[in-house]
Amino acid sequence: MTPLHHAGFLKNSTKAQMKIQQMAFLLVAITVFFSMIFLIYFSLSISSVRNSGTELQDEETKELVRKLSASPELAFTSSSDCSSCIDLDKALQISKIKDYEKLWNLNYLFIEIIRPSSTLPSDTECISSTTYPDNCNKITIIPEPENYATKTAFVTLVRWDPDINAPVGGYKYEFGRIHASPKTQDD
Amino acid sequence: MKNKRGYEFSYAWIFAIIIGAAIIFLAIYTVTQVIGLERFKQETKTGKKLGILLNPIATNLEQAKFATIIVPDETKVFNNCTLPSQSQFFGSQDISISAKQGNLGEPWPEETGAKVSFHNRFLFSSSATHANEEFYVLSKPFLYPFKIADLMILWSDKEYFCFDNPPAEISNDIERLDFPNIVEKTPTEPCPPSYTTVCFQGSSCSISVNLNSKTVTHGGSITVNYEDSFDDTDPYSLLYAAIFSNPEEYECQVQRLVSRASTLANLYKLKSENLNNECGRLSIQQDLEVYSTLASSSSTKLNDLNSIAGEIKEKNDALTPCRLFEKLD
Repeated sequence: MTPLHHAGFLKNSTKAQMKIQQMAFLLVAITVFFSMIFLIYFSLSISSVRNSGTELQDEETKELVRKLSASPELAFTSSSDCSSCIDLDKALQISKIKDYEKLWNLNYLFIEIIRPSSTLPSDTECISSTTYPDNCNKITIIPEPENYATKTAFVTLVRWDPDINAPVGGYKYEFGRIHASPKTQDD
Repeated sequence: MKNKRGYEFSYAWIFAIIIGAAIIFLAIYTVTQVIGLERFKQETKTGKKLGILLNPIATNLEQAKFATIIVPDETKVFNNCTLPSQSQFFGSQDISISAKQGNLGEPWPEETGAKVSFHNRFLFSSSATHANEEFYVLSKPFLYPFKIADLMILWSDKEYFCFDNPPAEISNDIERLDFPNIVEKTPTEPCPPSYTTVCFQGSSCSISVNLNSKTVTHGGSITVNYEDSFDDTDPYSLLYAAIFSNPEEYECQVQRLVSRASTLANLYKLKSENLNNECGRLSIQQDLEVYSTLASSSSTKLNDLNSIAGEIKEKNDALTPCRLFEKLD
């Protein structure tokens, strides 16, 4: 190989190396470009799935709260004069049965008894044989220690009161509100 | 020497073709996956929505409710039931959806959306209910002797039933609620040939009901038992469930009903204890305890609870005016 040929070979070799480097760079650029598109798509997709999940959970809770009074566990079935009343005497006992925590897809459920003229502090829990029925305004069915935003629905609450029509007794109707919070995706 | 003229592929060309093919392959693969993922998402959402839609159909004091659910595409609802267990005392109602989008003669997609579970629903249908546009839901309470749950009976615009000689209560339901795709055989109008015939007398039909032995036979071979609801004016809610349901799913749902009955009996017992025997409620407590214990066993069948349920009903009816649950007759 003459020195002249050697110089030509070196020149071609440098050109080829340059081309290989260009292509390698192009490959890396294409990979990075598509990876970024995938990342953006997946982050958008995951956030849309999360939003849909939350919306559906909220919708389910709203519908559930509206129809909880029809659930056999809470429905007032002792008489046929109130189709959408909640039986407070039953509600008081539900929290004692652990299995009920899993029946509804909720992580917090409580009933608020609305007594405008009452001087009781809010969130005074009803405890059978002590505060129930007159010295309380809250029955917690599914406890949740943290504060959660809840969906609410106004309901009529009914309980047996031996003082009404004494000595026979009768049903006392009160005004109340049912509060429920859906299970989050992390629960 | 012959001049061999030809096109020489440079390295750049070969590289461009290979990378181009890889990119096109990846793009097609990604689009297919994305479409599959979107379909999965949509079907899962529809499954959840269907479950949510069942909420307003639940009955309060009504004897029945009927609703039509309209779907935008041809849809299949897969109904699965999970038996009660230690961790899931109420078992679960699992729904999954498969929808055929577009109408280009494509085969039915094999995959369904994710299974959506509900613990407070009891859906009775064939294992896969296929609808062009409409699903029909009949909701009826089941009392044994207190209300245990609303039974949701599901069928579609592709399923047709002809009831031959049904009892008066079912005949009234067909007439009053005007169920789509369900007709009653009359002396002048026999059952159309494409309809699934449901016989209440005789056994030469697709589904045969024996009201005396309280059995429903599917296809002449698989027999399931049902029990009358403790509502004298409308005792056939579980019979509807047995007719419209896949026998395996039906047995599983009935077992779930027994589990729920157990906790409800316990709840009524606790309620009566708290009311300090006012109106003589003490007499019913022992029966509720027996009922709850019996129903909590996984080997207990619904008809095993029949006699104790009858006793509870009698004692409850005698508790005037403070019954634990309503007297229905």
